[in-house]
Amino acid sequence: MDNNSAQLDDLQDKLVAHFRSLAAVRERSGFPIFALEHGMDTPELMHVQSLLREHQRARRTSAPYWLLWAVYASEAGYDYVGDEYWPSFEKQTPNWQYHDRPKVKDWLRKFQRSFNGVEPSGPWAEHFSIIAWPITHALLPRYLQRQFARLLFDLRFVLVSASLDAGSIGRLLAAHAPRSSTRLQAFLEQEELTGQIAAALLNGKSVDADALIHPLALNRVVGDLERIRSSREWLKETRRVVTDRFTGIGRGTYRPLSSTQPNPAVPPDTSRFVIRPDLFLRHSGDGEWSVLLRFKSLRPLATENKALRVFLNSTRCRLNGATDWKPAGWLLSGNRIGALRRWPDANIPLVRFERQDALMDHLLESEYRLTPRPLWLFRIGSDGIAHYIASPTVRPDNDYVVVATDDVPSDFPGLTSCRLECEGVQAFRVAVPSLVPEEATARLRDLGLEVARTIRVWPAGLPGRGWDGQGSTEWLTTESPCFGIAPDHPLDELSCRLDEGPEQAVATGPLGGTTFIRLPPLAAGDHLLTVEAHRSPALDDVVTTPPARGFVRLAVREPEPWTPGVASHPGLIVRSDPFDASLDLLWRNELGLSVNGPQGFTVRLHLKLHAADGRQVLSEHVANPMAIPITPDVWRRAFARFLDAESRAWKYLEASTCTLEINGDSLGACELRFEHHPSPLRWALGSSQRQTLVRLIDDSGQHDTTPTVRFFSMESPLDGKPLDAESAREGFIVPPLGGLYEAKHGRFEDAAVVSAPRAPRSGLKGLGVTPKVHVAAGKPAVREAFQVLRLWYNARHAGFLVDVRGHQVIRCIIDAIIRSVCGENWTRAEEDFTARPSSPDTLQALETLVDRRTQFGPSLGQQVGNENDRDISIGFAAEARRHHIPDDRDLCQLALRLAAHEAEALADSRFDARIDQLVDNPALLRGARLVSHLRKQGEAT
Amino acid sequence: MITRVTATEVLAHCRDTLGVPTDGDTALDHSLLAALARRSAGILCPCSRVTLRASLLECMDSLPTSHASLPDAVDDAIEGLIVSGDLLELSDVVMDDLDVKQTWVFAAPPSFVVRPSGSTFLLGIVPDQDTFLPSVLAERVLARGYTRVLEPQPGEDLAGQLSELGLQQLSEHAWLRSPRSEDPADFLCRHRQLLSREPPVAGIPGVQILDSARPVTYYRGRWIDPTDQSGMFVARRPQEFGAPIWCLVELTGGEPARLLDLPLPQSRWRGCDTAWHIQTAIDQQRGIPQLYRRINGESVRFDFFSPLPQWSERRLMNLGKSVPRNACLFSYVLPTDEADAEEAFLQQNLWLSQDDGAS
Repeated sequence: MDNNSAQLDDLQDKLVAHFRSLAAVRERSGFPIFALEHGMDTPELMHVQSLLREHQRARRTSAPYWLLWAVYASEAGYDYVGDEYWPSFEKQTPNWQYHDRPKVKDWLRKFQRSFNGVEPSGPWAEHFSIIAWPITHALLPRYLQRQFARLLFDLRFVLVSASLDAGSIGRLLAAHAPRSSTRLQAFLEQEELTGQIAAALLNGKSVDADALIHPLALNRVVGDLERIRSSREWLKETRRVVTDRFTGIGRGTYRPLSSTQPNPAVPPDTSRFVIRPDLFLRHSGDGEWSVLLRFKSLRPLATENKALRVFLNSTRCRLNGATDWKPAGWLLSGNRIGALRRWPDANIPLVRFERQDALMDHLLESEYRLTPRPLWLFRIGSDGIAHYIASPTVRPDNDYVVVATDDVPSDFPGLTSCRLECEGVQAFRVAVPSLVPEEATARLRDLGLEVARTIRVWPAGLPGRGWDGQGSTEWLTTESPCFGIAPDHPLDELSCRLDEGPEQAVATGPLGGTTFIRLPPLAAGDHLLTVEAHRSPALDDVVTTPPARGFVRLAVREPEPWTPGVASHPGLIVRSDPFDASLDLLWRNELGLSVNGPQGFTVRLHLKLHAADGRQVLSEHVANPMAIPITPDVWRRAFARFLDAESRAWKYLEASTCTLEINGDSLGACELRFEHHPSPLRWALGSSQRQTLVRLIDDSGQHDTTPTVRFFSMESPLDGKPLDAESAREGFIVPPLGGLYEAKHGRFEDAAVVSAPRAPRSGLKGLGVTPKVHVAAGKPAVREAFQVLRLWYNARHAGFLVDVRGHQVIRCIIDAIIRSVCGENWTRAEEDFTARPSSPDTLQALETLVDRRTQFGPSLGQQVGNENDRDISIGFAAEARRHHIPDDRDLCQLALRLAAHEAEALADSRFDARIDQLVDNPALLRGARLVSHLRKQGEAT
Repeated sequence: MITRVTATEVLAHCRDTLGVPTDGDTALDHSLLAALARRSAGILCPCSRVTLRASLLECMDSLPTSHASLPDAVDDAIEGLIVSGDLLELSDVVMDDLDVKQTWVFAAPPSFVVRPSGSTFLLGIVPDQDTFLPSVLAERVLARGYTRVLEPQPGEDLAGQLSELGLQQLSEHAWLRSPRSEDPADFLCRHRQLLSREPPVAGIPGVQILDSARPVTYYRGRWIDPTDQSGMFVARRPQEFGAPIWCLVELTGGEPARLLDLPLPQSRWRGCDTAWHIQTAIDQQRGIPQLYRRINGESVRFDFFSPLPQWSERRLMNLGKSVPRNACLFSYVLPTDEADAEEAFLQQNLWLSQDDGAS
């Protein structure tokens, strides 16, 4: 045995003993062990790394030193910068081969089994099945440390009141980082783990043997965090806020994932949350009132349930009584207000989602329903806002709006009719005098309204949230509410009671004086404060009415964290559609961005591109300051101009993330972040000396099989040439003009259209492409052409003029498919019509060629007017039936969509199954194209 | 446990929760009122100014105050927060309903402005957090009237720290943005033309005008019900709910003949800012310009007799500090080396004149 092996043997034995000992201690808490908890200091670790590299250089078997290698791989995971794990690993490890990669998983799997090591979990771990192991065992990789510390800081006040188990903390962290970074999101998907790390970091003093994380590992992470001033400050402040809460969490709290993860199918307990929307009226001028619903954020609830969070983040909703759709994620921000144009139907929930979800349906049924009533009472404030009062009780000296489904009485004193900007109900105003005569009391009772005796209770000192002016308010779990109490008649004392607690006597001040009380901080959920007046018999001569009672309903919730850069301040309303747009989608200029705010203000749009290692590769303003409002069209035009520069296309190739800052100065700033959505199988693009490089990254962990790789050139876009997978992993220089690279491996696939310059001095003609496309007649050829077309549509785009060239390719493929299905004569007729659309001859030729045997074409020509899509579809199917052409409604619809919006047709899950039927019935496709041409012509004129 | 507390204890509880230090005065002072207004704005905004006012007045009910008039003090506090930038009063804002454009008060996002002196104004409100800074910084925040100031420590990169915490740095240029300097005659002529294009009106009840004929040194005394005046006036007219609407009115024999609501469409300034700006032009063109008093000492004190538009007062706030008024509407103290430039700005942009003591 050589000296190197002898040393490795000793170190392996030492490390086995260390982890055995750690496992025995950790058994008490059940918290898993990380390979990073090796307990070695830096010189020792460097020595081990050096020995292992020598060992590898000599191509010796790694098996005897599997534990040392597990630590080695995890150390590489700790230094992982968030892009690729293997390049730096391979650079530092001599003779490391692609086929060696599964060993990393084997070593760490053995570690996990031997010492109760941590096991990666969640979708990210499933997808990145090898590198998930060393990165997870790195505890908190460097590249995530700053983001993690910032997240803890942002959530510090929420963490104070969070449940103490690791799963809850982890879920809380996961729920509040939906948009910060996909890599952080992936890390946070391991909720148990991140909860434990957070607990250990915030506990701070993990120096005893029972520590959650080995002191050296924890000190190392904390030390690295504290090397960056901002992280240090965030951690320090967060610890200060949560210290009392987190002390003692370290022992015996770990429970395996399965027992702490809430069942996603079980509705969360809503009693701890304040989510019921507020109905109110706003005076809009000239005696008219608008009806509005204010929604509280569902984020705290979504924190508890990931499925709910995903659903809300991805589904549009519509209010019961409104016609417009609210964007996805609308209910995850607080204080959302929507106007109702029609009084809500009490039989259906106040919100309806675009698609159904069992969990959400349950919530809608329990919390989002308007209670059916004969009338609804709203108390008018001095600001023209009328708050809904749940109990039909009016107070003297107040004004109300009463909304009723029935007719309004017209002969009632103090009652005047008023108008609502809302159909389906009547409304009237009631002015209740300071002294209500008996007769008026009786009349009000006839209307269903009671007159309250006054014992006024109101939030004193600190304004209460959502105070309706009569008895309902909202507080945070961190606050001690104070109330003022003022009866209008003499009393001896008051008795106060909170929920079902004991009655407490409170001495009162003199008549007209105010008594103040303070409540302790309350647990999240609904509470009831009851205030009852007591008086001595001696006062019976002074006051004849019975003593009064007052109620205050307190809805208590946890505070919402503030996330910088998010437009929670609606002075600047930024909407992005889709909400989770990728960098590729942004660069294809398909993002629907709108910025609303006050007129007369401008915003600056500043875009930054960063490489995977954090290096900034571009920092430029998208345009000159732009006036608000910015509509999606205005944005797309401005961004198209920005994209129209070759230098930016090259920068994009280097970029991994992008931030778009929308800065309205005093209105605030909002930052949108876009990333390449990381997939285990992906094409990495880059540029060097004006050459475009493409390389396949395969982190799917499927080493028993080989990915299928094809290249479709711009010039022959349907002709897929197989490429060698090994060469693809090493990378290619993209040939002139470029093309589409496709890779498939098991359930993973990726496609990228990469546009490269033509040879130098090819002039302006070199900017575009002239694809040669031919689709043979017959179903198999058409089916395949559609499949490749879909690839071109859905692939990521990169490179100079890629959009222009990609569009040219797509048009050529579509034309070729149409030529194949509809025939050469039809194609020529279409070309003639497009060239001379106002010529009756070209139109007649087109109509005739739709179906030579019937009058289907001319009939369709007469049908097309200003109908909407639905009418067109119905008319089209009816004409098809009349002319004995297959009139299957779905097929007709599909033909129309293919003719007008091919991208939508291709995205339809039913499309592939219907291609053969379309090929069998070309008259349908020709008819649909005729309709499309005529509609376009109609729009143009 | 429910505890009975005194009114003073309620205020002490507010101070404690909002992190407002007491300088011995246990009553409701400017700093506490500003902090309460910020909290209320964090809860209610976006809302109308009247909503904010009503909320504050209700929770201050029966609590001790050192102010002669609590409603006036609340109005001053809200105005102070708007001038300083904690609140944004924005016109023609589209909120959730795209068809409805209204004037709202918004809570500004957390941000800061580094002043020429190096100290830093802290602006903005976070709904559920009364203090959004870490304790080490929060403890250093000085409440100066309606504003919050952080003084940098030697060698400290305060701006860098605040940016790291997610606060947005506002450039002095952006924060002190003001309308371009203009000749008062042109300025008035432009507004007179706009007013003349409005359709005739009749029977507008409750209009009050700023009477240009009354002394420029007593602002409140200039507001009157029109009697027999004719010409263009700055005015306010009541609405059923909410604050009266600022407007320009053309009177004929005391009767409104045309109305132009302020602010003008597409304007970034508030109605009152435009109205006060117009009034300074009217007064200047009448040969009785609005006045300020300059008192030189270790620093320079400026006393004003009429409100200044937000963009003008903010400049004074940026360079100096507000001090208790003395026989005027409000006062600022400025460093001597900045005073001349600011005085020139007041003369060029608002056409003010120095009070020579004759009026």
